[in-house]
Amino acid sequence: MRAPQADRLTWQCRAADRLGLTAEPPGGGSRKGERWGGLLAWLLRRHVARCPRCQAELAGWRRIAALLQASSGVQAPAGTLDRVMARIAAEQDQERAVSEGPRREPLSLAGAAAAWLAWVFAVSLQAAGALGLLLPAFPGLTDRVFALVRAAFDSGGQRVREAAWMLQRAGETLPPGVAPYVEAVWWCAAGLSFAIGVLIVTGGRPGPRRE
Amino acid sequence: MVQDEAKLLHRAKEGDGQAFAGLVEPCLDQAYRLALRLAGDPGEAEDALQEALYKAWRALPRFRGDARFATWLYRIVYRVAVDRARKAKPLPVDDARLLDAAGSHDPAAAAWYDPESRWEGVEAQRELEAALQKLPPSYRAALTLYYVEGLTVRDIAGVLDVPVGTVKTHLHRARQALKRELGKERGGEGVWTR
Repeated sequence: MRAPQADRLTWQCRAADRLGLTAEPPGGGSRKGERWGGLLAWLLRRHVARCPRCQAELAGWRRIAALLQASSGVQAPAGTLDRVMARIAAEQDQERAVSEGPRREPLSLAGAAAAWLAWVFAVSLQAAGALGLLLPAFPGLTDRVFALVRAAFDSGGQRVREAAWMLQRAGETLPPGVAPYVEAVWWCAAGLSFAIGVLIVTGGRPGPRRE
Repeated sequence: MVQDEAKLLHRAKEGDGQAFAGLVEPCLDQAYRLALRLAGDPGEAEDALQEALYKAWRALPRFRGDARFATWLYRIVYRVAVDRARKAKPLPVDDARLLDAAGSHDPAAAAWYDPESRWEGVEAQRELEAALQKLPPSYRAALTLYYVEGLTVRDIAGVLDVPVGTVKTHLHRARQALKRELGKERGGEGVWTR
């Protein structure tokens, strides 16, 4: 390999720049295990060692690295960590106070579960009624509930009364075999709404939680 | 991972604040220097560091231990500092222009070295800092972590959350962009000619 001319940018210079061979930090260059290996790297290192332009580049970067490292003595302001730890401790105290206070989640969950079970029981009865198994035991149960609802709505506005009437009409227009199943779905939806309502009304605060 | 670090990590994950402090303390100054380099202002750097430490505490249960704790903390510091800078003001750099400059050997940056000069001391430090502040945050972070903190390219990739090859490209482009900015700081007379 010919000796490179000063200040002449050759392809080796460009390749050495690209691989960072002319900008290695002081004290042994690249970190252990990160040095470029192979024949090309060996040739380029040899070039860098002989090329005035690459030597100038290397010296320049070593000076820059030294200037950058002059800031390595900068320390975090005193008390930075203490302030963060104080904030964390205060938050932990708050979370502890919350977790030791009355917890409403179990109550709300139990209430919702009880309501849901009650409605599942009712729906089961209706389903059984649809199959004709328990019909004699609970004749006209739904009709009576509708009558109660209508009586309650009678004291309400005209629109409510109309809605109740339409609901009853819709039930009457259903084919006889389908009506019990529709009733079962109705009860199921009503039960779900009731359970969700219980959950909302008795809903507790969320427990301590970290991201 | 060092066994002590693993124990501290386990305790910190269970909510032990002192264990968390024990984890943070060895890398606190490095994290601050990274924040300072990215923020460019000591007060802002301290605020960013505090926010990052708090976020690290909150996110600790999700830390799987794939990387060193310090690397993971630097990543949070980097993200917080960049986010804060982005919210505070638009980046003072034209990335496209810098990338264009980085892709070629710019004549303005070519005559940047004069072995006879003594470019050092407070003035040189000031010029270097001014030039650094004009680089994109990812370049600044890569240069700082590589030259000041002595991190490996692989660790820097973990901090910046990019592939190793991208870090090498960042370093190369950052050097080219820094040379160009230094050339401008010196009014085109060459960085070292003084």
